[in-house]
Amino acid sequence: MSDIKSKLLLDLADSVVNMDEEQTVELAKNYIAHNLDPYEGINQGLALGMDRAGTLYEEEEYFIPELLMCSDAMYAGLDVLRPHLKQDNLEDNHKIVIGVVQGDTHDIGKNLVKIMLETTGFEVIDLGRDVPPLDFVNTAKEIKADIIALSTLMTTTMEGMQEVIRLLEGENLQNQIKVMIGGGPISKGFADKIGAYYAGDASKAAVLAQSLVKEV
Amino acid sequence: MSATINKAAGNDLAVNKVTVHFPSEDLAIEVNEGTRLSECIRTAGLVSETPCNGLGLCGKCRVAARGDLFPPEELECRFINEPNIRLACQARVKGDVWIELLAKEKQLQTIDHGLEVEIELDSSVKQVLLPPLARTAQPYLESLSYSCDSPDLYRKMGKLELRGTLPSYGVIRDHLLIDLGSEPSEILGVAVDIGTTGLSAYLINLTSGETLLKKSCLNPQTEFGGDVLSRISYCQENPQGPDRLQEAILHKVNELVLELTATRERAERVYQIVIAGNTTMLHFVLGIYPASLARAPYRPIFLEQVNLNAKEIGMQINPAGLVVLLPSASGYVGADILAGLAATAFVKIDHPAVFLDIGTNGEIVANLGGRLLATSAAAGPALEGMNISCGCRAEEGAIDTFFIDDNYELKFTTISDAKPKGICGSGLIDITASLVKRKIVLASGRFNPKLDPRIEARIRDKKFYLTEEIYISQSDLRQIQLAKGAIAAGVSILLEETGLPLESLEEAVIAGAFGYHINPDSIREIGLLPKGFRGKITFVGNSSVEGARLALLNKNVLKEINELKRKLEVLELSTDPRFQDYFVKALGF
Repeated sequence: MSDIKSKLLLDLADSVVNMDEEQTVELAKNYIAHNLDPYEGINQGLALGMDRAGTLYEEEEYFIPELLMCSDAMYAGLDVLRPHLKQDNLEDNHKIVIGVVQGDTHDIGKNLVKIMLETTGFEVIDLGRDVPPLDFVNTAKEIKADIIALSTLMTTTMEGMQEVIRLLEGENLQNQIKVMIGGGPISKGFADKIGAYYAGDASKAAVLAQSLVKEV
Repeated sequence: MSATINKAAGNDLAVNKVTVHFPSEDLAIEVNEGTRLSECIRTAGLVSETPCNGLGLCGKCRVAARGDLFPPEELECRFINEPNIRLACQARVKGDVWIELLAKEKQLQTIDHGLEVEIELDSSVKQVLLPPLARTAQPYLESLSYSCDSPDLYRKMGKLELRGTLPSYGVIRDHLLIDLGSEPSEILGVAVDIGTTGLSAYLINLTSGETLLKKSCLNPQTEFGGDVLSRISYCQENPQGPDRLQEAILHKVNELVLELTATRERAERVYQIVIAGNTTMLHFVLGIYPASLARAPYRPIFLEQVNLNAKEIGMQINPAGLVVLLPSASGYVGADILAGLAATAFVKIDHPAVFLDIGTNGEIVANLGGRLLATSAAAGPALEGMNISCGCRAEEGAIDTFFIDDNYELKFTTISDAKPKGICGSGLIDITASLVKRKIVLASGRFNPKLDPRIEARIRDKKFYLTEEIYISQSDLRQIQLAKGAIAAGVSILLEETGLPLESLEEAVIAGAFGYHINPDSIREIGLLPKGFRGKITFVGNSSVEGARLALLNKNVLKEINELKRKLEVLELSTDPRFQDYFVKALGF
């Protein structure tokens, strides 16, 4: 790898961690101007920065506002790099269907997880909030998703998560489509009980999702 | 009126009990030997100003005290030079003591002495003089101008006829005769607030309007779940759940009524109970499983005022008595809030103001340019000291005030001056505010990596240690940010809805147990209200039970509460597209 390339990749990552949207755009333009591979720019520059931001979030050094500002910088950089991607880089992404379970409308947590998943290269289909269990399963089948990610803030709507798993089992899809869950009242114990994977926060969700698709 | 003796919390047999008298207030309380006067004043339900948070620095909490006190120490001596004058925050009781409050602000910690609402006594329940019994064949009760449809009263009349006594006094509710006797007697009512955590009840003389006694206790339903949602979940998992929750609460209300009235006979003189509470608690009073309330679109089963026959619902008061559940505005803006608005005459405030009731859900009502907007924010229990590493309820040993001086010395007080065991809500807010003020915590909520050497050693492993065992962690700070961010965002959205700028907001009325003993400066410092709020902060205490009391005393207040229900425009925050932006912006300190 050329010096200039590794320098630019590092700078891209740093500017994402530093929440500097303008600088990220400038660096991305500069990166393209040097005729460097946009795919690597995303994965080893922007995404790496977001990954570091995720770690800081996990360590509680960063909080929601910082994570969102990092993601603003990352998306701004993506907008510059993405148009230069070659077609074959676009297709083999793993897919995740995400949403807040039926009965719950609190979606900030879900939005953070979505950002971290997109950062790690997943194609994320966001069904929004108050989503019926069957919609998750149908969408996942339709787009051949690898993972369904479910979130809730309320104890009273947790059983919707189990319903999604029952529906998958009913169609014998539980091995093809993994279910990961998270949110305020969710614990690893609950996830184990219903046969789902548990993610404690947005950053851990991205790491978990990656390990789940590697298992496949 | 004779002095009432209230037992101080956390009785310990090993410690000597002494009695503290407040002759002017006609009050006496029992406390442990060694208790500070400021704590005695608080335990008695009285208020004395402590601008320096009880650190013995300002000398503003002077009181006159006679009796058996420990001699003043050096700190206190700087402020006292007259006989019998002591600093309430420093002086401790040794034996029986008599205290006179000196501060002008001397007041009960109830809002009827704060934001006073003048109301006329006009209860729907009244005692009336009955006409003499005529020697005719017409049934006496049918000869009256009141209606009467109760076989119980026929039985009572039968007994009077048998003894040849005259039914001289009747009790009416509106135009219905509900009791009669040959002698005048006490006509009582009970006002109740059913909070998710605690219950408060007042015994009221409906003839004089006087509040005779106040009692409070823990909501017995806490054993089925600490918050509203976990109790609904309990019903989800247990078919008997709603019945058990109903039984627990009705049993407790009966117990409170008996404690207030002292005897079963006197409890029979209670003709009306008015109950305020959040929407879910009122559902549980009726034994209703409010499943739909806990799922979007958060639909309650009922919101209207409900009148229940005391006998039917098993309230051990007069069998013809009425139990009134006050109306609610929405699933998460309940009767407690409407009652609080009535008690504080909130709609009559003529400048832009918000009313906040802070608990696991923070309810917010804004009175802005003639509109009444309300919402509820999912704050979580952090501000009450829950879900916090060293958090605890406001009980003995809880750190309740905190302050860091210019030399980075920590000063704090604990409830009952006991050995510190944890941090309660007010302490938590003081601690957070002090850390932010001293830049130990940055605006982002993160511990400052560059700290003054005098304080550096207190931070280990992202925890700020107040004592060897008690600390506040980075993740605790994050919980507080989430809670206050949700509330501040709610206030901002209500303001935006009416187009009024934040600067125009002149007052924040803070209701509920949360407000007590909290330093308003700390509330500003942590940004519980959106940054830029310059108005005044008013604490009104439990305005819910106060509203129930007023509704009991005057039927127009009951009407007013029903009008409030219709007038309030309720917004759902979680589906509001503006919420996330405001919330994220409000997370910082």
